[in-house]
Amino acid sequence: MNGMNLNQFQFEYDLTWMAFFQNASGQTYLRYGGRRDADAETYMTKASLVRAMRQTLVLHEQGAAKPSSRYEPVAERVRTPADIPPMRGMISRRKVSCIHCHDVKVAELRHARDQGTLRKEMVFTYPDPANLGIRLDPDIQYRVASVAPASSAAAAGIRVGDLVRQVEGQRTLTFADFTRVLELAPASGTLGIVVERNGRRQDEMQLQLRPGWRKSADPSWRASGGVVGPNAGLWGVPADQARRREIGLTANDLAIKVTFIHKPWSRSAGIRLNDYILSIDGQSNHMTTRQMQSYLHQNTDWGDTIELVLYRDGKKRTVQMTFPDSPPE
Amino acid sequence: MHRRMKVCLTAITASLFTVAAAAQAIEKPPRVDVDGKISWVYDYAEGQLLSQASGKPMFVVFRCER
Repeated sequence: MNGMNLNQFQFEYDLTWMAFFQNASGQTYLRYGGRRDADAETYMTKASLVRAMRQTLVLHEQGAAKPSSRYEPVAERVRTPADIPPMRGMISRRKVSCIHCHDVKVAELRHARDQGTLRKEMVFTYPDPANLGIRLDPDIQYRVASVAPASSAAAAGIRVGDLVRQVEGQRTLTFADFTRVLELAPASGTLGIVVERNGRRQDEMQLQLRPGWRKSADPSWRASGGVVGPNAGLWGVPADQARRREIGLTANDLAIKVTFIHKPWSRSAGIRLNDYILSIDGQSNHMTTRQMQSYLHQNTDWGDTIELVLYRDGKKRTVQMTFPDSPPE
Repeated sequence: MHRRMKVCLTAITASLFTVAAAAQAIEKPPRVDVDGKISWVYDYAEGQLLSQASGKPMFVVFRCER
């Protein structure tokens, strides 16, 4: 991302791969990329990439690039990662000069924290249309593959097989196009969507934006998540089946074997290597280590004290962990 | 990658200018030809000029280079 104009290339910076198809003036035909919480490659199929390339060539022939707008800006003013204040310190501490996409989002969130405007939900950028009940076809990414029961999409009248033509007046040919519109959607209200059904364009339908609609169930893949809250200060691996049996746990129970302790607050809590975490802040359902960290980012704050149940030497014990009042530099 | 799909992708990609925008670092990686047909350009402005001169659209990719 070194030197890139962030005003021009606005996308999900938690990703590791993203593409734009553009004309020589920098106007965009379509975006390609993006992921679900559960899987990084659902929407990265060869069939969909070939389709996106073919669509681009047709749109290019027609001169149908999107005009510059807040959705797809052709920015004249340049703003690079180095213009985000916390990025300067991050760059100076780097051994190599490469700035990753997620570094940009981390720096933006840290800047918001420094300004006192950080909110935990800022982690949830570029929401999946599934948040509104629309699961897009991975190969034909403007086709509705499924509609969740009782969702906003179901209430609006969206059906399986509908071809999404526009959302908020924007052409959405790909998953990434759709998420771009959702990124700029408000916290509440409605979103206009136009679909084609059985070859006929339907009247615009309204998707209700319900409270908390941007949040997804499992943001643990997002590298930026750690900016908005504390972490456990340790790392671990799932307990094996033999140990679960010994403790009397099922596969649905939390059991993380501590393999690495790297923060003073986890040491002060008395946690040791090879301890098993059976409960953290009252959560005892199965989680990966990343999901456990993500839970803490989203549900606890610096300065909080939480309770952990550990298993060590055949006994359960309860310990308290207190996070420092502010994140360490 | 399936052989037919690879041929198809390569053929279409040759109709676009391929710009690896992620790597606008101080030291730019050298151009790398893929299958002798695709040559990534590691500079967005240069990609725009080539796109203009050739009349082809750009395929701008952000990825981890190293």
